[in-house]
Amino acid sequence: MSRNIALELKSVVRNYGKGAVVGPIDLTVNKGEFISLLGPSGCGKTTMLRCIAGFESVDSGSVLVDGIDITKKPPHRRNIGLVFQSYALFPHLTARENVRFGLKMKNEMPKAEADGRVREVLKMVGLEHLADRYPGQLSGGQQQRVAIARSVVLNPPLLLLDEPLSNLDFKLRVQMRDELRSLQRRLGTTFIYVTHDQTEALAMSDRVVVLSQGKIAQVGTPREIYQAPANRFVADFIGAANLLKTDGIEPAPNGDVRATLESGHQLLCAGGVRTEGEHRWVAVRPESVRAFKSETSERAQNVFSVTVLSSTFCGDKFEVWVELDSTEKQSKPRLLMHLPPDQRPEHVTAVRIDPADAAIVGEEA
Amino acid sequence: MKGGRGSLLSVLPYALIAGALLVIPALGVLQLSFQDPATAGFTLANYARILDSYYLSIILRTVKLALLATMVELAIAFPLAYVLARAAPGPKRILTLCVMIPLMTSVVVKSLGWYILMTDDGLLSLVAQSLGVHDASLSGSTFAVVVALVEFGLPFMVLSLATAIEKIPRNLEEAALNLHASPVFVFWHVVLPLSRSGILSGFLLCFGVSASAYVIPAMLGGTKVKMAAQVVYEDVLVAFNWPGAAAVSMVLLIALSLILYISLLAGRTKNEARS
Repeated sequence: MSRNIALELKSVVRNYGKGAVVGPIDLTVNKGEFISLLGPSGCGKTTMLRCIAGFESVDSGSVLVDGIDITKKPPHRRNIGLVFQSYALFPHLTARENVRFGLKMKNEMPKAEADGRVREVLKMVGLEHLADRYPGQLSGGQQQRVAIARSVVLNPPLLLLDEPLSNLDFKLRVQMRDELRSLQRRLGTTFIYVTHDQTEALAMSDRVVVLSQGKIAQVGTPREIYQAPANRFVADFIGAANLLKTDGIEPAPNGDVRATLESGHQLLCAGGVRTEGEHRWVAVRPESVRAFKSETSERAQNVFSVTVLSSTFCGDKFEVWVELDSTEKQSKPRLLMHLPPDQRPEHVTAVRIDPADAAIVGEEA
Repeated sequence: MKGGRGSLLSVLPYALIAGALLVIPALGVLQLSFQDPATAGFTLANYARILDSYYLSIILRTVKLALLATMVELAIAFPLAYVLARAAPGPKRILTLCVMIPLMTSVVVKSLGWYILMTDDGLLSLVAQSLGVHDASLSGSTFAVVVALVEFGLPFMVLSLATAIEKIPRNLEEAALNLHASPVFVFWHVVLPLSRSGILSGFLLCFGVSASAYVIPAMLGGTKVKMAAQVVYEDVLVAFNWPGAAAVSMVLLIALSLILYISLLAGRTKNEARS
């Protein structure tokens, strides 16, 4: 067993009634890692977090922290921090008393030392001047900081965060994202961060665990998850990917793959090929579909003539829906593409897809 | 206090009813309490009479028994209220019903039940005797009165507490557990302080109900354990001394109001105290 492992889940299974099951989940989290559990609501990410914190029992399998099996330990003996989505601050205690609560319960530190530690942590989250306010007198962002300080003050080896930013407005969310990340680097604590927001997961994490219907769909770095999704679910969930159904695939030179779409179009793919599943799709990100000007180049790969269906101006870009032109009438594939704001959507007549940006994905494995 | 013309207007119907049916008659009672029973002239004799040890001891006993019953209710009701507040919707409905059912039975009927259990050859007396308490006659004892008072007031206490506990988010308890608080400490540092409003309203309700009890001490207290409401009754219907009854009522009213006011002050949360 490596001494570098902070948390290990060994075939953890949790039934939560009416046939809903999480697991079996196997996962290893390294020390100091920032890992996200990402998935749509109901995928079991919060259930997993609650199993780790001890609020829900595990039906089978085991949870190991620092190599020690804590599956049967009651929650108040686990020494795992948890930041709640709704913060769960004690309304009858001031910010300072909230932060001191855990030290008081643990009762391992002389009072003067504990007071100093509380002050230090409040200072770290920039709240020392508001320490004597009650939670009801603090803004959402300030409450959020108290909630984090309250866990961090105990110096837990593992900190769980349950969608901590989802109640904040957009600007604050982006700011807190950076603060959380730098806090984690400074403390060196292992963070397990639950979110349904893929942007958040990609921006903050060392690794992302994508969950679907209680099972792990893919584990990987944000780059891997984004560029080489393991299956159709991941491709679809992470960023709005275009998914084009294929009729068949065949090997092409250089280890690439040539996919034939249902419409008869042929597409060269080099962005990762997953072969699981009966049905396969070509996944292409909207930003990888580029407008192609026929006069500039004579023969390029993966160029298709298209008809623009609709376009929406989004400030930094146009979102344009196009339809591949095809002689076959029944199924014309549609693509969402991003166009730089200085270009005109109505001038798009052809698009090009870089083979490196096209990945083949299978049905959920 | 916040609230403008709208909130003032909304208490108007109640204020009218309370004014017409409570405040004005109470003023009448106040006036009556200063009347000489024979000449109807002004006198302080009715109040002087209360200083007599007989009346004073009854008023003191009334406050003591009401406090004792309320404390016992609080201790019994808390675990019950917690279970009720945290139950799933289905079981919660059934539990609430179970708590409410005693309220639908007349206090006379319930006191009769206690009376039968506590007479010299009643079931509870027999049990007490078999446990070695030889001269155990429960009828006419303080014990009998307090037991009946507790049974009577319990639903009020349970419902007041459950309402307050329901409002404590579950995840506050989880957060406390997560911060190394044992279940006992979670109760002591989180659930109990946050149930303050329920404890206060339960206390006020139960104390008021117990202190003004008439049927229970009359049926179970015999001649030894008299409470204040009985004295008023005797003055009015036995001795025909209405001014005397009025004076006892006023003393009781003022004493209870004082206790309620003090507990309200003590029950204010820190937040309210500051603002």
